[in-house]
Amino acid sequence: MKTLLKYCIVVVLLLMRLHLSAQEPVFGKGIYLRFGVGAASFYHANKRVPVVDPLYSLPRGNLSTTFEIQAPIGRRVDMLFQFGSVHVRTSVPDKWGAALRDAFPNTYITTYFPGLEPGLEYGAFPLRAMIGGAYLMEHQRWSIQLRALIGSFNWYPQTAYADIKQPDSNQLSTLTVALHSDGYNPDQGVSTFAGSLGILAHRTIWRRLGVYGKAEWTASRSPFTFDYVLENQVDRSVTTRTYGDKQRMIHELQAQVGISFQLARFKK
Amino acid sequence: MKPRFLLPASIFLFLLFTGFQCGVEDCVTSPVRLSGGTAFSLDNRGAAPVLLDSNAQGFLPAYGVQVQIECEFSDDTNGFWASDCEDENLEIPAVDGRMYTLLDMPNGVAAGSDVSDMFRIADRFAQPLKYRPVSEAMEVIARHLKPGASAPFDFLLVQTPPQSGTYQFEFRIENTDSTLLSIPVNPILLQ
Repeated sequence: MKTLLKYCIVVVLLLMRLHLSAQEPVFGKGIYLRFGVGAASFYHANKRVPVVDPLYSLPRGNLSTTFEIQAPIGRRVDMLFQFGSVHVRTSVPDKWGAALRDAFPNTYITTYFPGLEPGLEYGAFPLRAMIGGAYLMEHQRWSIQLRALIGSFNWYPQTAYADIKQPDSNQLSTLTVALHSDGYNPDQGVSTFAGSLGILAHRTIWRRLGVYGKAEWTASRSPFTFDYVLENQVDRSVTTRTYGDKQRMIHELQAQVGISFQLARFKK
Repeated sequence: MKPRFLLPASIFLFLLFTGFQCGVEDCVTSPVRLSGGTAFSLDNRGAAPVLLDSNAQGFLPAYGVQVQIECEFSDDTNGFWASDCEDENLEIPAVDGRMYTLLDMPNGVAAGSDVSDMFRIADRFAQPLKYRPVSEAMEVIARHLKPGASAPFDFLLVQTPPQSGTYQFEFRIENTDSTLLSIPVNPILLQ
């Protein structure tokens, strides 16, 4: 942790040096559109519940895309509107099926995911809409930006069903795992407050066109608490549990590269 | 606003606020006639039940009966769906469906007795799969019958008699005109 802190201080000092030694900036003031792609990793407290975990534990390696608009509101400060999605790269049917086979050994298991489109193996992707500000440090064609954003992360938790059949028998149990929320509409998802800090490096390469790289850390609260209902179809006995932790935080680290287009140029 | 826009604007607002939708119609209910049925023994030891040959032996704890029912339209619809609805509501002329034993059972149940409580109908169109009491069988059957085609319905033996022996069951549908449609399965040795 101390090493990480040292590196952070060094980076900030270098940026300040760059800022103080800035000559006439070529990076022009104006409205910028940016589109970027990259990688996003999710990290959250490890409170694994094998049967439910594949439905709410987001994996480390995902593709992320971001679209943003940036406009100046001060000499060194810009306002940001950012929209993004994370294309979760995991097969929930495969992972959940494997988890159930471990939890209910020696049974025949059939899983169902209503609304899961063929080819999409997670369901609807998390979306986010953020607003925030950036502090700009410009040097010729370069612009280094420290950014802070707030907004909402929209999650679309998956509902899952399974038939669990005993071999050599007509005994059957059915399992339903669904978000614990009154009136939850799977199409609308669940929104949670999110905060984000990041750094962006922009380089103008030709007239209004630029390229950029950025790194961001986003934190939001988990909306996931799942009801687990196991119903024996022969004797109608029902086992109900609630799994998950609404208080846990989900951290997302994102690294992206992209292109930037200056939509409007302002005079200094 | 110019007067010539008033009429189209009024029509637009009227349609907007009255919830006008193109191409949506109420599903109609079509009366059908049950034209026949056949029944087969099932072996449900594996992941999904399989039909048994007529001379095969069955496995008592995983035994079932598959009833295949046929129906046809009973009015002048000439075999066509009467609307564009994906799921046509069919009105079947049946009041009840029950399972009977045709042989004296080794556990003392006499031939001709109603043994519906020993079975469940597997609603395979439900996700997840649901076992429902035989008293609700006609509701499941009405929802999934297809005019001009044979529709299979699985009845699974969930209260297993303790003794092996020869069993024979029959699914009977009582029609609204008090006639019976009897669909027996061949006798089978269950062990």
